[in-house]
Amino acid sequence: MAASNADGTLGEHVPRYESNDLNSQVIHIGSFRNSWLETLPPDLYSYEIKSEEIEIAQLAEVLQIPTETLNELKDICSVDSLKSHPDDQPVDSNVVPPNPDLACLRLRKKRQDYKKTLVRDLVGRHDTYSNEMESVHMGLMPEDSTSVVPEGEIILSFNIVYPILFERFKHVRAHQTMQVLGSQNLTELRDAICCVSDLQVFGEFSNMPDATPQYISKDHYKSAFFYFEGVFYNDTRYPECRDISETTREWAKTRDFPEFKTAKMEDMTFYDLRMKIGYPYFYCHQGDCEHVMVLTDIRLIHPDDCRDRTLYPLLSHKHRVMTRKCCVCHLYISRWITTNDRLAPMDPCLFCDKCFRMLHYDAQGNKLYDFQAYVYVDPGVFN
Amino acid sequence: MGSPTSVLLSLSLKSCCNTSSYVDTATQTLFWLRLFVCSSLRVFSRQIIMSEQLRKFEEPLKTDLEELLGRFQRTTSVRYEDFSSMWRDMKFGDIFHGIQNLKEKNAFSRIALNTATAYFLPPYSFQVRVGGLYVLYGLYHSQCSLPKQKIRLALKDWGDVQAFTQDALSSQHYDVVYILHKLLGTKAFHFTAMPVPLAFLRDKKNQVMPNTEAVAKPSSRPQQLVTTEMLEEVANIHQHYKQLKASVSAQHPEASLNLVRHNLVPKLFNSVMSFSTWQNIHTGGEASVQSTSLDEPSTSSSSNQHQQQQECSRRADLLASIKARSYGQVVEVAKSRRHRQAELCSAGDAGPREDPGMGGVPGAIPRRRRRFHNSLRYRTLRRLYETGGIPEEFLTSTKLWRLSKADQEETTRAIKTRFKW
Repeated sequence: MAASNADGTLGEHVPRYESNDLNSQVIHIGSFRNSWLETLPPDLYSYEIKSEEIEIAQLAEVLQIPTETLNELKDICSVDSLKSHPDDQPVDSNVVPPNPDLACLRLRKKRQDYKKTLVRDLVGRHDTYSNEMESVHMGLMPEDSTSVVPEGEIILSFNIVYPILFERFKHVRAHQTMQVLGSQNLTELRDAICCVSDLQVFGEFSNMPDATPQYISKDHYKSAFFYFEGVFYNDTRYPECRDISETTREWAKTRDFPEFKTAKMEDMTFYDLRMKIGYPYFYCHQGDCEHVMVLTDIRLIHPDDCRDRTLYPLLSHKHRVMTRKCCVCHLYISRWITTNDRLAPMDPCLFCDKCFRMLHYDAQGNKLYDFQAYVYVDPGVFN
Repeated sequence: MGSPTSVLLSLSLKSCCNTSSYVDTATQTLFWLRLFVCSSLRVFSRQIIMSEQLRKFEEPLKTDLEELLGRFQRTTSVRYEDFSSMWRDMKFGDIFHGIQNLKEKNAFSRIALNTATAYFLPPYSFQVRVGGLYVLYGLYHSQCSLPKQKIRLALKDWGDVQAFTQDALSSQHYDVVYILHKLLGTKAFHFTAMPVPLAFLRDKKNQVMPNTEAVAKPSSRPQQLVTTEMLEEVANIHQHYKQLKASVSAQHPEASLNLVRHNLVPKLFNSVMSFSTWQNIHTGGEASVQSTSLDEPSTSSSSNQHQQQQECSRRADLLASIKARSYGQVVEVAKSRRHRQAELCSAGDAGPREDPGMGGVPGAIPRRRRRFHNSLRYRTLRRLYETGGIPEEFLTSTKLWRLSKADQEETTRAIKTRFKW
């Protein structure tokens, strides 16, 4: 929304806001990257930080001033000029300074004073490690030099939302945020999305609780698709995969929708896609487990990002879900769910493994009475 | 992409399955899965969303930045020394202090840098943009977050930045160029597509429009339409029309020809006058307040004012007397509800019932009336107690840790205040 830039002077691959200020217009990701790489001198996006002498020499050339002036400049503009406290008086940066003038500090002081009035100020144990996910990957270099992400690569950030979302929880930060490299295939993102419906085990197991489940839904129902800007990208890697977007496309034909196209997920990289930033898109797997996805950000890779190619798609944020505990012990996460159970307090009822066996089976493993039992995978299993 | 899709897709799921009995267990499990996912989507009370919490800082940040940039602008210089002395003076680097949580530190740094980047780009003047650049430099190097949060530069703004650098170079503002190069050299920028990460989050609370009702002119369209000239013309035309009618039908004009009111013009005038007086009465309160603050005494308006004030105070007195009369009398209830006779309380007792003896009901739990209404459970218990169904002890539940206290001891409940930004 730059007023001084007439739209005609901007190239067609430059992302701009659409009329509603919420999302950008459709851009082609590959050409966006090329636009940046054309305009930027390579040393600006490279990983290495130049040494001081080289920098000074280059600057002297650009500015065309004698070196004494440059050194003077260096002294004036050094970072020390920003320090408000001299070095020998270290100040605790976790505490608001007394008598603040700045409005932000006054606001923070209010909270600090409130906390002082509390008798017990409990720090959540998860808050200490809340930044762990981001800090672990900071500047990580792989051991194997072939899997280093090259310079000038694009990182896309996707917000993947819960499959069922109430209006009230829309402002909860997304279920997962994944960072993906531009050169990766769509199938790699599809494999990396962790959804609890992928782990479901079907079957009634009350008669054979010790039987190991043969497979999980992820192995059984392999079809999935992404929907971006009018194109359905289907996963066709395995022979069992079907085109589950077909029903939607046929339904759309009967209504007044424009024609939707299909493409193969494994052939497309993110560079080939045309998408809007900040606009909700769609991911469907397991036939009817639907996730809304939003592309939040596209940027060039930076030395502080994780540089190990094998770690991408990277999970940069995961929402913590409360796990449901066994109704007997309230300690362990439940793994069984029973119905038509006359000894259970409610229908359906959750049990952890130990309590389940103690209540429903005798020491020899015989079923004691009539009930139905299913395997329960808690959504908090990814915590 | 809503329910029709999911219905269709669940049908397609069923067609994928091999055996029919499988479908039942499959759909049942999925049903429970959905049920439990819905109910476990609880947001912790302490895990208040960071972005919502930090949204409160947007206003103060803007105030602080504008203060700093305002000071810089007043010096009408673009030298970094002046800026850095102002920075040290205001101790702006301390803006990041006071946060314990690293995640919050990072989030606040991001917000601060995003807000400050706006001042670096057009349409601000060259001096403000130089100030914005210095602010970015200062914020980037004083932040306490780890990793250091970067300044976002969108593709569409890169051209502006280049132009700005060229301007500075040609005007020989070497410190500007030096600072910019230094920032680029320390990889302080993220080269992005859009200036802010977008997540399709519509702001629930839209920006509050300034309340213009008080300052807006009350509508005066009727008065504009019905002016004295217009009334004269209408009276003229009316006269002509009556004469025409009389000339057409010789003796008595027929009743069916009376399509227009006789007293059109006086009626029009009266209705407009009554409308304007009504308007004046209703905006009389605000108008009188405004005119007193405006400091413009004029005889006509002051007499008007006085009249309006008199009218207002008369109305107020009338209302007060009505209220006093109605609340002074206690209505006797029917005999069937004689246990619930209303009592007259004075205005001083109108606070929340903290004293059990006051409301006449022993054992009442203190309830804050203003904040929330009593729950159905409480109301049911009270009603049962009053009809004599349950003994008094049932109203309060015994806390485990109070089992050992003596019967006469009463502990007052401390009212817990929640923290509000």
